[in-house]
Amino acid sequence: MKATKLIHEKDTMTSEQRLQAVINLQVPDRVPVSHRIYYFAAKYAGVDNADLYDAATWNSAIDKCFRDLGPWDLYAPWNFYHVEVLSLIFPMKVLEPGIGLPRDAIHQYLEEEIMPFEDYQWIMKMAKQIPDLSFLRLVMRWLPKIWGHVQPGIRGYAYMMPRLLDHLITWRRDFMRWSKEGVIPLAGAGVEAAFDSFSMARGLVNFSRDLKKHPDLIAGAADAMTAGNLYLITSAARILGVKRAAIALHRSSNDFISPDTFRKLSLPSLKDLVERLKAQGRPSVLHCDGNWDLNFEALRELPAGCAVVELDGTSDIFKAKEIIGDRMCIAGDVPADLLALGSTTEVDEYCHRLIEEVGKGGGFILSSGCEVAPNAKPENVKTMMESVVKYGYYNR
Amino acid sequence: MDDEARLVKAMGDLEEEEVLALVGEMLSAGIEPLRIIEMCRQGFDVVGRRYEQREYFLSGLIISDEIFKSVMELLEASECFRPSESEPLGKVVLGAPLGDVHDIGKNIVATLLHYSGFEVVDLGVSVKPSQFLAAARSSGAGVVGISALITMAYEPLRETVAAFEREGLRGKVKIMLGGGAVSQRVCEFAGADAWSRDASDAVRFARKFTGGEE
Repeated sequence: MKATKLIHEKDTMTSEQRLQAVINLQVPDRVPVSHRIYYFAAKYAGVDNADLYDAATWNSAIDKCFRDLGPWDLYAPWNFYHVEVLSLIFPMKVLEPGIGLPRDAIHQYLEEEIMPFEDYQWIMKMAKQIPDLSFLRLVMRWLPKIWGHVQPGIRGYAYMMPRLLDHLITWRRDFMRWSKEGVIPLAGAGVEAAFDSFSMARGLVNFSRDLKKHPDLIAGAADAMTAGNLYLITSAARILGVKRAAIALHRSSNDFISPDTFRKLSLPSLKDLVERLKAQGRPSVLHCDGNWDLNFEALRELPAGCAVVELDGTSDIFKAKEIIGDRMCIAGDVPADLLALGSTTEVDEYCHRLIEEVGKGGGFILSSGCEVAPNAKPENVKTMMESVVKYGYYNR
Repeated sequence: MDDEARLVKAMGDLEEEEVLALVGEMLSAGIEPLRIIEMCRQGFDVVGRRYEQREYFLSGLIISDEIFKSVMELLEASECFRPSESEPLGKVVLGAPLGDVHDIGKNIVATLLHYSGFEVVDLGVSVKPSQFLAAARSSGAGVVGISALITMAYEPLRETVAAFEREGLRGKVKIMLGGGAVSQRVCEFAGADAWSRDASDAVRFARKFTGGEE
């Protein structure tokens, strides 16, 4: 899967070369641009959110965005072709458009217990017995609690495996299609980091108590999951044909936990996974939701030159550049409210500042960081994409 | 350190078992439940200060909320419990906007306001502008707090503020926004009076809006 077409006329690198350069903390020909578009595509293309699970509808909607508002260099896959596959990554009860919510609504997670307290011990024991298969075994234990139609045991596997395979194969087809446009995926296979996954599956209230009373169990179970997470990523990556792996961190921000808790309970298993991925030549894309300002220092413990840190506009990305800019590539962080409520001038000014300051010396991807708000103004999205041509070339 | 000081400290340190054991002992010793609540509230203030100083984070606020609920269950089960007859500092209507079903942030704010002396009218999640309006009217609340976690809430936030404007209540009711989706830009778009992503600011705003000290 080679994307050889150049995106813009003045480009001297392909998207692959450009992304490799910024991950390696080198200076590319220009700042690459990415995004996380999902529900925005449905609104822009005039289809219901509930229909985005259909591959043809999704591809038609995102193609329209690319034609009208792009081009972009990097495609950050954010869509799922089976609702249950989403729950493998985000183990929470969820209301979906068309399933518990109106067809044009966006999905919303519910803070209910999927993981009983006893599962910490169970995970440690199980992961010792079947380390590589621990991720699959764990999520298949939880899935029937999220979706009533998925049965426990072998019937659950029989239901899920064809869907997971279909999802991965369809993503691969999507990636191949994008490669003809010169666009490459920011990452392919992905997992929620173990600590964050437990937080979601336990629910915020239970997990807050666990943090106070049973930190050793959380750390032990998180450590035990590394082999299973790695195995899932490498197996899925073989199908997808993409080396870069996404690791979502939705609950490790300093909105929820202290930097000390992050360092003691979340970072060790994250570091282990990133290091093992690096040993296989696989860069990590860390999707860091929320405010990470007090965690940046600890992120320096991750190996240099093999990770992208995606920030969503809540963290201070300029501070991130100062603290971790010499260790990892930074992506972000045009905020959702700016894209939805700001003017094109404001978007242009903010993107310019990002490119000048965070893009200085390379190691930067301009992006929305987290999801482009469904109600973002199309002209603002276009302004963001165009700003890398206007301001992003390094030898101008 | 006497029992009361120990209770304040245990609450501030989020030591749930110790708080509940002390409350049990104090009840057995015939201490007035309202006095016990006051000690817990003082401990809650310690939690709030530590949260503001970034010593505690959201997980700490959640635990303190849970401990307080357990204390109240213990007290309400005791024979000598009588609800407080003192006047609240003010009334606050709370809810998540139409289309948003997230309630954790709103619940924490409700607890913080409640134990800071406010009467809270909690409307739950996905609340229509007309419901906010009706609750503010019927309760006579001077403050409405709306907690939003999704970007699709921008328009319902604006519609809610506009509904108060249309009905001529905007001069009497202050509207504050909270939650992960809000920002200065969203506050201006909606036409609200204040915003924060920090739960403890809700108490500060409510005190200010009801004429007290921040």
